Amino acid sequence: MSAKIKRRDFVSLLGGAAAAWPVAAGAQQPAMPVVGYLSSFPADINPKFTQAFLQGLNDAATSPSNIVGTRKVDTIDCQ
Amino acid sequence: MMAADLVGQRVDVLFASPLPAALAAKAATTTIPIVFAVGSDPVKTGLVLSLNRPGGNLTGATFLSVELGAKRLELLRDLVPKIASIGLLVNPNNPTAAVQTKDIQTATTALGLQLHVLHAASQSDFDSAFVTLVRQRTDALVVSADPFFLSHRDQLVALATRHSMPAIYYAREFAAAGGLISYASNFADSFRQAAIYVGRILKGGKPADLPVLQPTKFELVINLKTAKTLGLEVPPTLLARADEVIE
Repeated sequence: MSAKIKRRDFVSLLGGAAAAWPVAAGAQQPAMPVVGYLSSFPADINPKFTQAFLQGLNDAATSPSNIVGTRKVDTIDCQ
Repeated sequence: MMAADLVGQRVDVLFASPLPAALAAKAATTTIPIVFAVGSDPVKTGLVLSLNRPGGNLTGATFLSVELGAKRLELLRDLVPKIASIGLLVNPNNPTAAVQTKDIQTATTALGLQLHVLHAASQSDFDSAFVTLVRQRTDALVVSADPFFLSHRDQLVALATRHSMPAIYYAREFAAAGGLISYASNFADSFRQAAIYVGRILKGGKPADLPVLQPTKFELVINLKTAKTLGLEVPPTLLARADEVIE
């Protein structure tokens, strides 16, 4: 891993929540879990794996003790 | 440094993949739960204490890429007749380089095959590695599991074609790019499983209690077009075992 870092933030929508979540959510709003996503897979392959990861987050949320809402996933690609 | 960066942002769970990212994450925090997706045995690489009871703040999924070297060698022998010598392409910077080399050494010795180990740590090493393979009259090549090789799969596959070198690879993506044959678990599936663990941890689960997930299914992909180019007749028994055939 070298210094070549490309960062992107994206949002996984769960349970019908449609609002993108800013990095620093206001204190009065309920805290949304933040998942850090660190990958050193090739950039051209990463999207496919990230997609599978987001699918898994969605699958996890369909179990009885749902976490409903928007989860912020912070991605850093490093190669 | 990138892992520390994320830890500094107070994430609830940190996902890291593959091994270099997972090791960086582990070094960055002993408190934030980490879920990994790696290609090797996470006990051997020191990520967890045991597969069933990881013990610390880490758990996750393994593709078992590193452990399949001997199996790949076996498949290569089924496909290429009369192999006497094998080349192994290894990235010496990979934390599992020694383990992968030793596994193939053991397997080739048991089969009475000659082994040539070739190191490639940069793109410029690829050309000379193939020139060496040809000069040594190597019959076939095993490309070891390494993210750097995956990044440069087009170049590796092109060199194998140019030098008429039958090769087996550790990820489907190589066969899709024109590589002869690949044998691997479904990496994307491990990512999905790992994310389910992330979900469980967000709901209060502890990494220490979540067993490391291992693949149960492995996919054999054969590129028939490449086989034809190399003048190889794919045995019907092998073809029948393939999960995917690229025409």
